[in-house]
Parts: sequence; C-alpha cells; structure tokens
Amino acid sequence: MSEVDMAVIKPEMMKSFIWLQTADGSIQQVEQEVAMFCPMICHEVIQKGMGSSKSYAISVPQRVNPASLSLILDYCRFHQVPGRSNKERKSFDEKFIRMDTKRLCELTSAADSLQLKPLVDLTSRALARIIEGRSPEEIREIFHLPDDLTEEEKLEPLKNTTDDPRIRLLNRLYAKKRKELKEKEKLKIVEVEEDRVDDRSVDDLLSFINGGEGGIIGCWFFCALLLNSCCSIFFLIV
Amino acid sequence: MLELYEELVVDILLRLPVKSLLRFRCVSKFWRDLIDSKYFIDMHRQQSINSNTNFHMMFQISSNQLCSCSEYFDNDGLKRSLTKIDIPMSRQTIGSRTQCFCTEIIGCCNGLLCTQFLDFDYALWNPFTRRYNKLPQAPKLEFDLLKNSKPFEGFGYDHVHDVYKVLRIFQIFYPDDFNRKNSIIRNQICVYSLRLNSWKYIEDYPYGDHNYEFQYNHNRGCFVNGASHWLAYPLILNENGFRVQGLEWSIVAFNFEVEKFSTIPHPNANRNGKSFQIDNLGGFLCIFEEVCETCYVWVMKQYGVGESWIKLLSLDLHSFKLEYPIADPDRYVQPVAYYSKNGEKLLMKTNFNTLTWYNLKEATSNIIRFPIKMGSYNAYMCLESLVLPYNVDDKEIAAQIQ
Repeated sequence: MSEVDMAVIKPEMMKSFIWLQTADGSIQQVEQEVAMFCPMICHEVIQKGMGSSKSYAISVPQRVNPASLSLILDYCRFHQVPGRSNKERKSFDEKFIRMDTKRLCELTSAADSLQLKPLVDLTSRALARIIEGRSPEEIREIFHLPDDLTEEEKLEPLKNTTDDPRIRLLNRLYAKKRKELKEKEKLKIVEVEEDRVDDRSVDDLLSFINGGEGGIIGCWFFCALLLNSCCSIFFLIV
Repeated sequence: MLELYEELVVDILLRLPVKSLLRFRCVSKFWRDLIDSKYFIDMHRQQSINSNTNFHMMFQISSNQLCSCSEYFDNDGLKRSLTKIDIPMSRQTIGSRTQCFCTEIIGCCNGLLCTQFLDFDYALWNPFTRRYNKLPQAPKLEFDLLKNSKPFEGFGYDHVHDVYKVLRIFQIFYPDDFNRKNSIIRNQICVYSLRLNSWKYIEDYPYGDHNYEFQYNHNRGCFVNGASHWLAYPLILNENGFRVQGLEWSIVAFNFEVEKFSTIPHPNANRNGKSFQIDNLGGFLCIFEEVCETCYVWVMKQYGVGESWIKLLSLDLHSFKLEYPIADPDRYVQPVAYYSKNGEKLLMKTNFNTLTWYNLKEATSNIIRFPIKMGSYNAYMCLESLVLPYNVDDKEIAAQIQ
C-alpha cells in the first residue's frame, strides 16, 4: 500500500481535513486548522456543516481560482500557527507578496471573497505601493479600465455633481453612517442598560439548567443555542 | 479576465497620497467621480489619521512662502523632501501690478490652513490640492479701537456637524496705552462658519467671574479635541481700577461645536520664565515653559482631566547641544511635534536654522540643519488631504474657485 492510501484509510487517527471545490470542478482536501483560518470556510463548516467529505465539499467562491487558493492556503498555513513572533510574520508577508501585479489583483479578489481581512490589507497595501507612481495610462492597463474621459474633462479641476449612481450610493451610505454614529453617541447610556438585561437573562437560564432536567445534554444543547446568538455569553458559561 | 471589485479599488485608493490621487482623476470617469466625492475625501482623511500617514511638517519661512517636508526626516531626508509652497492669497495681480500681502497662518486642521492677510481678511487653503477660498470679510473695528486692541484667532473643525469655523477675538483696551496704563478690556468676538458662509457675533464672554487677558505672543489658538486654546491671565483690578499682573494663569478654550468658552485645568507650570506657551503636540494639549535655563514640556494625556497632565520632559539646557550659547538673546527652544509611532522622539525648534530630534528614552539629541536660510518661522504638522476649503453645496462659490 502506498503512503497516500494509508493516509486515506485512517482518517480518524490523523488530523481532520476539509474538502474544498474550486470553480473548475476539482476537489481537494485541506488540513482543518488551515482552512478554518478563512472566515468564509469557517462559516460554511459551522453553520452549514459542509466540507466533511468529498460529496459535501465546500464550493469556493468563483473569484478564487486554483492558483490564488493555493497561495491563500500557504498564507493560512503559516499564520494559523500561534507561536510565531511579529517579526517572523512580517518577514513572511514581505516575501509572500512578491509577485506580478496581475497575480496580486487576483489574490486580493480571492482573499476578499473568503473574507480573509488581514490578507486583503496586505495585498491592498502592496498594490497601493505599486500603482502610486504610475501614469494614468498604466493604471488603465493594470485594472482594465475604459478611457472614458474627454481631453477637456481630464483638465477640469473639480466636478462637484455626479451622475454615477454608485457614487451617489456611496455618498448616501456615508451620510447614513455619520448619522448612525451621532445617534450612537446619544444612545450610549441606553445601550449599557440593555447589556445588564442580557446578564440577568443568562443567570435565569443558568438556574433553569441547574434546577431542571436534562443535565449535561441540556447544558450542551443550551451552549449550542447560545453559540449561535452570542459568543460572549458562551465564554461566561465556560 | 482581470476583475477587481470596486470596493477593493476604493480600499487601495484610500492608501494613496494626495499627489497620486490628483493624477489618477484622469484615469476614468468612475475614478474621477470617486476621488471627488465627499465619501472618498472624508474616508481618505480618516484613513490617514488612523494610520498616522500623510502628515507633513510645515514651516512658514517668509510672509508669502511655506516650506513642507515629509515626516520622520533626518538631514538627508530633509534635503530630499523639502519643498517650497507659495501662499496664493499673499499675492494679488491687478493688471500689470502685483501686490504682496503679509500672510499669516492662523491654524491647520484636517489638511486645511486658515490664513489671514490685511486686517480683516481670511482665507481657507489646502496647500496640497492648491485650492483656496477667500472668506467674506470679518466685521470691522473702528480705527480708534483697532489701534488699542490685540487680535486673537483660532481655526477649528466642528466634527459633529462637519463644519469648519474661524474664531476672531479683538481684546480692546481703554483708554489709550495698553502697555503701561491699566484699563478695562472689552471683547469683540465673532465666528465664521463655512456651512453658513457668514460671520456672527458671540456674546459668551467673559468666562465665569473673570475677564481674561490672553497672552499676546502666542495669539493663534491651538486646536485640540474640537476646541481652540489660549493661555490667559485673569484680569484683576486694584482699588484704583488699574490692572494687576499676578502669577495666576488659565487655559481658555473655545469649543467649536457648542461655540462656548470654558477653562481647562492646567498643570503647575510657571508663567514667568523666559518662554511660556501652549501647543498641540501630536494631538495632545501641551504646555511648554522655560525657567532658569531648564525646559519643561507638559502634556495632557486625557483631555479635560486635570490629573492627566504629565511632565513629558525636563531638560537642563546646560547639558543640551545648542547652536547658540544659552545666554544669547536669539537662542530659543520650543517643541514642535511628537513623532515616531511609539512616541519616543520629540522634535524641537532650537534655533532659526536648526531642529533637534530629542530621544526621550535615551536622552540623546540629533541636530538637523536646514539646507536653506530661514528667518523666524512657525512650524506645525499638517495632514495631506483632499478636503475642500469651501462648501461643495454652494455651487456659486464652487464655480469661482480655481
């Protein structure tokens, strides 16, 4: 028997794996702790119970091509190890992002769809450094953007109004966010009181468990319920 | 097929300096509209402040020129990054004649500078995007009163309502000679709001039961935490109605959101030494005093909390490398900025042509010499931002701006 067969035969004794499927149809298995470093995969495993076998492989988002996935898994494999120093991590990151711009763009897209924020930050920063000194023509080439401004428009100092619905949406969302922050300032006192209400309900529920039937099973069921709603309360019980 | 989602493009653009962004307005319609949008301008400003990037040291070297250099400079870095910037409102060309005005920088906030020229004229200016806006003239003061008054100005930002404001105070002395005879002070106070594009009078003064006389040699309020601050002495009159100089002093603050004056608790510093001033040191309120050839730098770690004043530095000038001898009247020392992300080094003005990096931990200093000759100058930290010096909603104003 080959070593690969041995590995497949005793899955319970070895570390567990998550099954992933990329858009081109190919399926691969990845060490659990590495794959779970990606929030999106973590969500699929916990919330939907996917990824435990070949037939239940997690479909990785379309923006993640196999090359990007392999890079992302390398990144996860390194960073999920808890004992590393900041210096080691920084040094790894610096070497990691040395690739051509096209690959870097694909990687940013892929990391974003997997919700891996630290990697998105790293690649965005690298892309910003790359494009900082470039000319508008080079930028258009890199990002495949249309040259849709007239020569006159290029020389205009400022355009106050915009017809672009995306910008209008951004401005509206931003105005909304500012308003929300202002409201939040005013409601700070009210929020503190709401937290206290939560504590009381946890105490009530705890006494319910201790006094009622169900014992350990009831406790675990209760914990699973809480995990879904509020992680901080979970830690209280543990 | 290369596809980078728009949110990711925004994320990348937010990390770029203003110079690149202004150039990238030509890339495409979407990029231009994005970079010009209020959303992007504010997010970019926030991102720069949060990541402590895009800050520049600005020096006013003459009445119509500024000098800027990027942060964390050493002698070589200074030579490379020092750039001269003309102050646009300091020159006015009418026909073939060009008039030069003496321009002063009142304050710096979110990348906007407020300048003052002539007696009642002010302008807001972004030195990195080169856009400026001359404000409507401030209310005048009759000549008789003007010659007996001292002006104090402050430039600030009301972050709750997103409005830039300029405060102007005239402290008017009666009857004639305010240097020797004692006299009662009257104040003319007005505030300009960029949103309303107008000046209005403010009556809330004097504060409490004291009338305050502001310290004159530092008449630009320093903007910290939403308010402008000045050093002031309570006005005490003796039985003949003459003003008396005491040892008491206060920090008077004007909050731009509520447009009210108040006093801030102050440390146990001595106002009677060679130097005594208030400043913004890396976002904290700072008092600097020089007494008996020792410099003390106090910093208020928590705004408004009297107990949070700490003595950041106690420097005996005898042990410090100075360009001029201690007793020289031209010699002065003053803190400028509170650098390095770990707050280790303090940048000090140690003369007309030199700055010194003082390492607080190791107590060592590193002198930086200016490559060009400069006279007396004011130095401050300025954020490089896209913020517009005018109200975007006001289309009439926007059309006039170059």
